[in-house]
Amino acid sequence: MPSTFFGIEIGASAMSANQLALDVVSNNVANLNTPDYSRQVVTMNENTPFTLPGLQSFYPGQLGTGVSVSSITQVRNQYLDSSLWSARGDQSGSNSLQGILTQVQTAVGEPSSSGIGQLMTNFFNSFSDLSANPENGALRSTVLNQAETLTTAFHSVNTAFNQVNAEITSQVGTTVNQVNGLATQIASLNHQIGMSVASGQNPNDLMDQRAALITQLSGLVKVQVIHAVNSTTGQSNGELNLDVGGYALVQQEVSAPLPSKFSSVNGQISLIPPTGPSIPLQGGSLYGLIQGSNLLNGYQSKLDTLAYNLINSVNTLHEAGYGLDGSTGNPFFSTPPPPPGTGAAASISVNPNLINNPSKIAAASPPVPPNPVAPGNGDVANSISQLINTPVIGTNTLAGYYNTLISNIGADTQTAQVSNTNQQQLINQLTNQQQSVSGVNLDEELTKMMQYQRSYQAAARLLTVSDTLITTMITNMGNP
Amino acid sequence: MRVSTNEMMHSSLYAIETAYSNMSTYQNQLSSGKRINNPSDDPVGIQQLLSLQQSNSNLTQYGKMNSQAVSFLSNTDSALSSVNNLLNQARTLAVQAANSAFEPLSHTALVSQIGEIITQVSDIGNTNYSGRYIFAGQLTQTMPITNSGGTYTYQGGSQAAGNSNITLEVGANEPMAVNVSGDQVFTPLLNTLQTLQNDVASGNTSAISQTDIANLDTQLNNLLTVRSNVGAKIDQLNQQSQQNGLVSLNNSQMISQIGDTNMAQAIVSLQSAQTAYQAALSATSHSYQDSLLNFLG
Repeated sequence: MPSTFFGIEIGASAMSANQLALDVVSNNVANLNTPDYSRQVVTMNENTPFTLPGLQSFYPGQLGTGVSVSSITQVRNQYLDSSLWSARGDQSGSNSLQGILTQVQTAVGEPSSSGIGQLMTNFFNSFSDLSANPENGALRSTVLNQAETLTTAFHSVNTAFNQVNAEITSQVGTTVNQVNGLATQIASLNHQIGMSVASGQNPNDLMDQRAALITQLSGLVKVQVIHAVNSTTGQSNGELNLDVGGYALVQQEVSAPLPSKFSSVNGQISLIPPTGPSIPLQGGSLYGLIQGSNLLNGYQSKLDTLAYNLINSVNTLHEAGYGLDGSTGNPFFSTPPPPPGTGAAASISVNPNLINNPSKIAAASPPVPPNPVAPGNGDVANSISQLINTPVIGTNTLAGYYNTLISNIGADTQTAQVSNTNQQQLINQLTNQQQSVSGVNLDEELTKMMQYQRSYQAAARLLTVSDTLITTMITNMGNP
Repeated sequence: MRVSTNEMMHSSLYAIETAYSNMSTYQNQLSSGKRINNPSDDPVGIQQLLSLQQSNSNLTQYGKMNSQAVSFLSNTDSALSSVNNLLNQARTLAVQAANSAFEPLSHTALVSQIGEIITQVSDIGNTNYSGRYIFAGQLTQTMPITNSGGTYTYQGGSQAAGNSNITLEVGANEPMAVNVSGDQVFTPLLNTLQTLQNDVASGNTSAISQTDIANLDTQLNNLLTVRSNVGAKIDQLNQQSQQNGLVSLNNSQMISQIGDTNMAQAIVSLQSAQTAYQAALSATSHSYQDSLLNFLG
């Protein structure tokens, strides 16, 4: 025969279990809009049954002792988590690349009537005008003006490229700092989670926090997430290791900072630590930034090649020509840097001697001795103007080379845009899948709320009934 | 499938954003009138577009050279046409002198008339058009024909000195000499006229009838050859200008095809993007109307 208060105990256990379940429901509802929150569920277990002792055991069997909450666990799919982190790395890589290339596109400003392409055409056309009237001082000034407009355009595109590049370097530094900060936090969360798991707890909220940090981190640098294992039991100890291209960013409770020095050789983008092997990157905004810097360096060197060949081809013809004042051997542009012409786009400028004295512009071909220079001879000006149709860089004309550069910038930008859009869609799909597992559904929570509420009410009613029984026994039985 | 509350919100938001961004793309194309606003809008198209634009700039420049060449040649031709008239006058005077008996008074008048013609011809040889002597070869700043004590000397550019031709590039790799240098026309012509004048003054009728008139005819022929050459060049330039006009028109059509918005297509696309946007908005507004909360007491 169980104790008089046995029923009260069962009711009380049901009340407290359901109350706890209601608390979990309200926590789910409260965190409806918390990013990376995984819904939590309550697992209830029957309490250990009670075998009633007795001399003559003809009791019908064991008696249940109520209910208790055995665990509060979060609903999380590890596979979806790591797919999502990986996709996020790819997406933010192409997103930051797209950002850089959009800036590059703005810097070149094509198609327009004031881009380098059109200005080069204008420059050569001014020489063509001069060839028809080489004695005309106004046309000589026009040639100089067009040349200066062109050199200014080279300078401003080059400066814009430099600014983007400087911005990239500073962003890489900031990003690496963010990564290192996040890695430290994740390592410390690993520590707390490890302690908690070791003591048999479910540290749901800590795990959510850590997942949120990894989500942030994987946007910055693509990481491989590995579940750490307790070496003695062979079981997961709740800690996560983060790996960047073979470099242990977080190893259980220790984080190792990433270096901010970067390089890209043969398309392999890596970070260079002070000692040890370089760290190859696969994704994340850090990857996109360095990739952008790599592409930008390519564009800049093409711009230099263009400026260098423009200077050389014009100078060669110009130096052979004669000015109105009989001078010869004057370069039109100041001397370019040595081959391959690195820095030519920054340094290109019109020979100051010509600016001071436009009659030194060598429009005329060499006179037959002993004749002086013929002022109406515009043959060299004409040859210079014809450079517009002459293959100068390999089989390319200057304009053709420039057009290809613009087309390349466009194609790279388009590729980044398209892959950004595609990866965004992939993220959306994965997020939907993840949300469908881990996300909170309000209707579901409200249903559970009613369920637990009703259960609580029923348990309370049982308690009242038990109380009535005891009242009957104590109060009513004493007074015959 | 289990759907979380936030998932639905995210999906709606993404659908709205996508539809809105599509709409703005077409709206941008319509309002700017340009299909290619950035190289990334069409990387292949931009290369064609830039090269067509440059080709058009080239054609415009050749057109400019062409019209300068035409005006140079026209000036030359009208000057030479005046010379032609003067030569014919001189021939009439020569015939008159050869056929009439020698009378000092009337011969003096003929001599001074011929002298007048010589002055006019040499003046024409010194024609200056917008600051350039057009018959001086490349020495455009030097007066080509000078007269010192009745002797005319040509001082302009010459074939021998390699500075006779003013060449304009009127097409790709199409240089054209657009001037007639004075030594080709004026030097022999003035010599002939001066000989005639001397023969008339000295009453040498036989020289006039036997050589001077024939020499004048040679000069007239020479002039005709030079002028027909000039005329042929003007014709060629006019034809080329028409051809360039056609190519340029063709280029402009291509530029418009590649770079400009196809209005009809863009309007239809904009309308369908608008419909998609409205649908996304309407779906979103309907999604959140119902909840279990509405039914809980």
